[in-house]
Amino acid sequence: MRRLGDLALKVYVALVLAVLYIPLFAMAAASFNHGRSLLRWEGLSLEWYLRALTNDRILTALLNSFWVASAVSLLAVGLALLAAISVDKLSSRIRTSLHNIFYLSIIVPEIAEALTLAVFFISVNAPLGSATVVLGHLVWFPLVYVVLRARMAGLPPTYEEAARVLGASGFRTFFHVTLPLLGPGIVTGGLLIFTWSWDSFIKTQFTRGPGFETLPVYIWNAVGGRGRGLSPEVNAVATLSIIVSIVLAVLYSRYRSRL
Amino acid sequence: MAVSFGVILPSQSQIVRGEVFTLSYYQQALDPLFLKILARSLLLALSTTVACILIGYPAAYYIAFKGGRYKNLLLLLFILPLWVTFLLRGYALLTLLGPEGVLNSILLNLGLIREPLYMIYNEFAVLQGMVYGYLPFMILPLYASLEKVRKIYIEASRVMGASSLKAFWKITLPLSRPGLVAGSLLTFIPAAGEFIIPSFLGGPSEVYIGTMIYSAFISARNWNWGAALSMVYIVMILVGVLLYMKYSREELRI
Amino acid sequence: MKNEVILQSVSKSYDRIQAVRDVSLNIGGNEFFSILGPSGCGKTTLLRLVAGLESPDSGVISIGDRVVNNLPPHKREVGLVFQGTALFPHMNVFENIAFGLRMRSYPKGEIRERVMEVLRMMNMPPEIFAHKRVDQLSGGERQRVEIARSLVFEPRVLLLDEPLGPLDLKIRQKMQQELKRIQRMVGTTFIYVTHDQTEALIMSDRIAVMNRGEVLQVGTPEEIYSSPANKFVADFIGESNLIEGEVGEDGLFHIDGLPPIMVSDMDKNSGVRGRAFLCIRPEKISIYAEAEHDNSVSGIVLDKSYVGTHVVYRVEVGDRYVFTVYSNTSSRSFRLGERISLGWRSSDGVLVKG
Repeated sequence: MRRLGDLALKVYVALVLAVLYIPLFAMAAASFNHGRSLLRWEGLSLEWYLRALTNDRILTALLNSFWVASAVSLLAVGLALLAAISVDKLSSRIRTSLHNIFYLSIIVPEIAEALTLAVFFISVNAPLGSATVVLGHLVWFPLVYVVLRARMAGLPPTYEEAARVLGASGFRTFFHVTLPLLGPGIVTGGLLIFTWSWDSFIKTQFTRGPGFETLPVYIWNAVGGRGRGLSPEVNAVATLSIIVSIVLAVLYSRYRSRL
Repeated sequence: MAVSFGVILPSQSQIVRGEVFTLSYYQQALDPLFLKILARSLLLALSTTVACILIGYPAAYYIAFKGGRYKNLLLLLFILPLWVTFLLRGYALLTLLGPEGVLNSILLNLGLIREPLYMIYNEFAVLQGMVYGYLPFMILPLYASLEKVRKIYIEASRVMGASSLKAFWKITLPLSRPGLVAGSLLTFIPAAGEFIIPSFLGGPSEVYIGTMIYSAFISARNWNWGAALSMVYIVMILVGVLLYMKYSREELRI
Repeated sequence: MKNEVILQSVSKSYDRIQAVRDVSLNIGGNEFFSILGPSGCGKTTLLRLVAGLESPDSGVISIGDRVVNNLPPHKREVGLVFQGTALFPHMNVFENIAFGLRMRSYPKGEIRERVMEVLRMMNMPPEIFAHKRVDQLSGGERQRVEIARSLVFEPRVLLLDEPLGPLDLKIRQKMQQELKRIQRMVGTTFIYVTHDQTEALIMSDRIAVMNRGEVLQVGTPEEIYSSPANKFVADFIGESNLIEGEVGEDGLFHIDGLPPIMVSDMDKNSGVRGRAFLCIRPEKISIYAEAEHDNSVSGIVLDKSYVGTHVVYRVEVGDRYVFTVYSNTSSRSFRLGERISLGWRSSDGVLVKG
């Protein structure tokens, strides 16, 4: 009886996983179809990948996505690091309210945050473009902050104290001990915000200027909205984008285990 | 909180410069038509959350207690979809279920159907898409709290005379409450304002807050209206979250 | 003797809790000095004050001939071995030990030589241990690396904060011997914080007993054991029978319900007047079938337990006092309920204030 229950549960979990993955595999499979329509399988081909990767608009969008995500990650890590090590000098009340603000900027839905940002940029007459997109994504830096603080909470103060007593100044303690110990936190936090930025559609759409496209924006413009139908090129770049995300996820879980 | 209010309040007064400060957009937001859309969005978010709990709990339970040596692999498999943007997951659903989609093509080729089936562009399709999208957000926190339920608690209750069902009801379920709360918040809040899934899978009449904010801002370029809608949404979410946390005695923690 | 560490009326409090209260200590060069007390007595705070990780509210701390009150930890030339383990997890054994030398900009060759030397001194062959990761070491090995790391740059003083706390009894005992050997070999002053009185007695040249932020007594292990300064010290160090009574005008100690007790060394106890406690160590008491000592009281055997090296008797005396007595295993055994006499020399009793 019990073994039967376990078996049923096992089958159930396999089913749930199948449901989660089948659409992604269907899309990936479609991207290798030689024909334009999905309704007929016309043989295996890399044609759509070739077309996508020789399409200037797609390439520009890919590059934009990449440099936006990189810039956002670097800036966010710097900002979060600064906040994480200096926040202890604040009074605990200010620290708590700061944490609440940070927390809210993570849980406020992207669309509301995106609109708020856009209205803000427009009202201060900031020209919408790549810079406003980067700034908009940077508002997610508390993600990195949270990871860093969690890492710091797991480190006993004795490491820094030991370094001080062993003869390191405050400055050298930071670079020789604190920073390397925060290493896995920096990597995981950086990967996390890189992914959020890489994946962001709504925030980018609201804060970008005309003519500035990232990959998600390109995909939306090509297939988004009702009744636009499917596009084999999009299937191809979407599959590529998912592979990037999966690589990031695997890297993340690897560093995560060192936290 | 200060982020949203601090940014949106000055910006609103900026936007209405030249005009007097007005609450007319908020009045508009209380229009019966809008209230209907609001109610539909909340209902969608609620049904998504409930469906995710019902579908996700057994899965989280399995990983936490029966995962054995495959635990980490299973966990990774449930985490991976979270790393893929909703835009692509929504689009993937379209490639699978759309009128020209993979499923239709298989069924047509097998001769099971003559005409493509219309499996999308209706409310149920939206709900399916939402559950597909948000399920991992529910499973992960559930797993995290179930994982902390130590086996000895359950064993102790069994030795003291609880049946396995009773043990689940009295020990496992209450101890997994933090996960239920976190998972529900992680699902409900963004689901209420979800834009991508309804716009891929919904029919023309299905308007939700998210799609409304999007079209107010992007298509109609009516920023004040969009801002008013966002404020209603944010305030609603915040009040909801605070009430929920008050009653479930969970705290914001970093 | 050149004094290495001098504390003058040092006080420190956190949030109105006085952790260290007006402590003055002279800790001499090359000695193994222990600070002993129950947890929360302020001993760790005292150590952190010397290390510079905390600064005193008042008082003066000097190391060598320098007042160090305003010196940051990295300029104090002290070593500190932590409670748990504070080895840097991102560095291997060699890098951990070399850290202090690198911070002092020693030339590469010398760093190498010194690290190897200190590893050998710790009985840890460098070819086996130098490149091990920290998490590949056993508890005892970690502790030794931590000590090596603090000794390698030849600090004036080595501070140790319950370094053997997390170790098993056997390894602990071995490490106690090791630490003593190392201290003799390098000749550095060790200030050793512990709550384990046996450990303090075994290892130290001198001990300071602390309670509630105050130093109650400073002395050699023998002094502390045989003439405790007050009831707390008598009770905390070793086991004692403490019985309350009154010092009478006749020079005898009067306990309700017992005959007057002679305490010979009254000059040693000259400060004690009025209500006081008589402290007698269990091993100083003998059990006889009938009275035959300076001081003797009669009692009934309540309980006895065999602990290998000796037998522990619990004896009820005068209907209200219970004495603990250690008796040699080779001497005569007494039955439960047997009526016996307890006796001790008047010089073995010590009077202490409450």
